[in-house]
Amino acid sequence: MIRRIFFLVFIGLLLTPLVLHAKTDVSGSYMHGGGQHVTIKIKVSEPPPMAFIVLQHLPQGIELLSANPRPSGKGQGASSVKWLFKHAGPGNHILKMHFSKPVNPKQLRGEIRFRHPESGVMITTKIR
Amino acid sequence: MSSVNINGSAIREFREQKELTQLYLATVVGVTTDTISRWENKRYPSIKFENAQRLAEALGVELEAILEHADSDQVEADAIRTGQQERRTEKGKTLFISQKGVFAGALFVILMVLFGGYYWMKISRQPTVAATRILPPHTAPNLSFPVIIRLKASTSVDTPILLRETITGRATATAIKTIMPSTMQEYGKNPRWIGRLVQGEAAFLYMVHPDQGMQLGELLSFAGDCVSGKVNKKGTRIVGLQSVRIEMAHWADTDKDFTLTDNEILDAYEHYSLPGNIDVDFSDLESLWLAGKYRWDEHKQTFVPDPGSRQSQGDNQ
Repeated sequence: MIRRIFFLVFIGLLLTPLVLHAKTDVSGSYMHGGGQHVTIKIKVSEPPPMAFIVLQHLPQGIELLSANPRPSGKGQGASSVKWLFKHAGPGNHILKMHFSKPVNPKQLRGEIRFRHPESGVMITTKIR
Repeated sequence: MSSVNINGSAIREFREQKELTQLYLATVVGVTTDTISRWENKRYPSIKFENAQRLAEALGVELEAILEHADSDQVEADAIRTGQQERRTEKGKTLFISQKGVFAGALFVILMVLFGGYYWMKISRQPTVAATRILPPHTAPNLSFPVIIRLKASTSVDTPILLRETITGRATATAIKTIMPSTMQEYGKNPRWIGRLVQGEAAFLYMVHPDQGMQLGELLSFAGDCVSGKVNKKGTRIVGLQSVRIEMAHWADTDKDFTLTDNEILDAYEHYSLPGNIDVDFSDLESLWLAGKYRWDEHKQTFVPDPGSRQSQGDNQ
């Protein structure tokens, strides 16, 4: 019994840095999976990073007509657009996109990049 | 009434030399002949001082002549006794003073130990502050760059704090533009900041402007300390990077490949931003990042976007 308690405490101590490391996170998900209008819900946990980048790949033959907030610029070869979010507080943020044609949900591909404030590790998460 | 010791043998000799009788002496002094006889037969009889004076006058000699010589010895003996007594007194006093000194010394040592213990406990319970300077390792001539000093106390303390920096080299410093740019503070070569540790943390951000004429390879050096009365009255040296080299690359371009990647701009924001509205003006940096490549413009003496060379670049990460 005592051995099991020691084992659990040991495992807990081992996992503590991972739990602390996982405190800062930025994740995204597509709210409307199709059509011309697509919304990304971005969730920022505490403490937030100072900035993060949202990169949305454009399916072939489809253009981004408008977005709110406006994109910061285009990615490589104009096949992607990106947003630089600065000083975004913790909580949920909405990014609305209007495409030139309806988009198959399976064709939606995007990612979020941020730098972990404490460890300095660059983290890239896929938008689901 | 004082008395003196007379020399009976001397009195007899003077009386016989002068052919005087005991009756004569007895009559002059005002004593009986038996008394005179007793004085002469006793070696050191002690008589009244007045009788000794009259006896000397009757014999026609100085008083000293009939006094016992042993008197001087006696005086010496008395003096010795007196001296010994005085020495004993002095010794006693010295001993007393010495004892007092020992007591005072012991009291002083005890007080010092108590004070030292109290001071040590006070110091040991005081939080310590670590001050770390973060700055880019390089920048270009005429290209301003941010410097941030992050302060972290060992405990969650709220207290005022003073930061003092000194820049060595051809550059000056200013405060970060806030809501009112007209109030931008000129620091010259000595950035100063009075702020407050909130829950044991604080940060001081300022901009450094290298001179246009700085040569490649030239260095700018930084040194400073922070002082807080509550935390540590003695200045704590600011650690971290201490110099910036002038090179032909943007300060945010860490690998100096004339491309600002996502990682590099995120690094810049993470390193040189503070929560709230206090921020470095990254608009130029963002334009270079969006363009992907950048180049040095000799005419403008600054970096400009170079999207023309972007076609050959890979993914900008």
